[in-house]
Amino acid sequence: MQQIDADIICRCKAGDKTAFRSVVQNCQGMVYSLSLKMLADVEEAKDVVQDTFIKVWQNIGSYDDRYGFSTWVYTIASRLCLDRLRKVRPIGPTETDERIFETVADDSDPERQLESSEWVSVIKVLADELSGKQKLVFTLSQLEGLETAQITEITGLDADQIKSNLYAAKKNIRERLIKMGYEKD
Amino acid sequence: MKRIDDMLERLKGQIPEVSDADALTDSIMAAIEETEDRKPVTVPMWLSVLRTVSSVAAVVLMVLFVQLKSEITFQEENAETVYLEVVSEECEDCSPAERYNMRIEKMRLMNRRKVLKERYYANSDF
Repeated sequence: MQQIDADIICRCKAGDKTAFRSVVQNCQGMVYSLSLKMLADVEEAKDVVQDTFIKVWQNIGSYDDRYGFSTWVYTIASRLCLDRLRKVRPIGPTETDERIFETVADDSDPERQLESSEWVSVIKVLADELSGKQKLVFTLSQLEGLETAQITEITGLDADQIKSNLYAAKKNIRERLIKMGYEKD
Repeated sequence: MKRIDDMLERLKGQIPEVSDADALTDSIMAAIEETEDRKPVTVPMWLSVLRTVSSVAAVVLMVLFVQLKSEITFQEENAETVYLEVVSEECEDCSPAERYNMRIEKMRLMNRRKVLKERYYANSDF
């Protein structure tokens, strides 16, 4: 998670747009990452990034310094993603998505960084049948690598709920991958 | 499930790059400027209170009007029965002829009021 200086946040609260620009530059990557993995659509993800920072700017006066700034930004972004998921009917994975997924899965290079378009295909194949909550917990925990305490702060779910949603999401993904012919052993 | 787990592990913590980060930052800042320009004009407190109070008053007056109107219509429609009851209460020891005369007198008074009212509305611009 990105760390932002308290001084920069104070300047943002005072209405300094130059300071806010640096916040956007620092945090837009993590918001884009979350929204792309949640929505599996580059343009939708960019829209969510924009909406998130508009909300952050409009509500920065009410931001409580006791909580992490990145956590607060993640909370806003994840709510916007869930709203979008409710409104938009997801399009299932195409044959191209499955082909791209197989290429990514078979790649032996552990250092390889995925392109946005590859992420879209991977998410469509992996998380197509997950509910919004399962997708959010899976993304935050498995793909973003956040701790349970951080996920609790972002989603408002307790540890047990996170555990059960993550279990259900992983089970669904495993079943899906086994159907696609991936290894059981 | 080694292969599936390995693959999920490899995806962990990877952050997809924004294709044109500067353009995205610019568009976010432009959108913020735009939303600030579109900020609605703040209505003074006294005006919003006045709006609320006058709306409530209008509703109350409307309810009172409807209630009064229905009461008057009911009285006019049931005048004969009402006068019969009033006459029998007022004049317990009267003979039937006296009661009849009293009732006729009251109804005549009511009709006179009705005629006057009709004339008034006929002469006015309503």
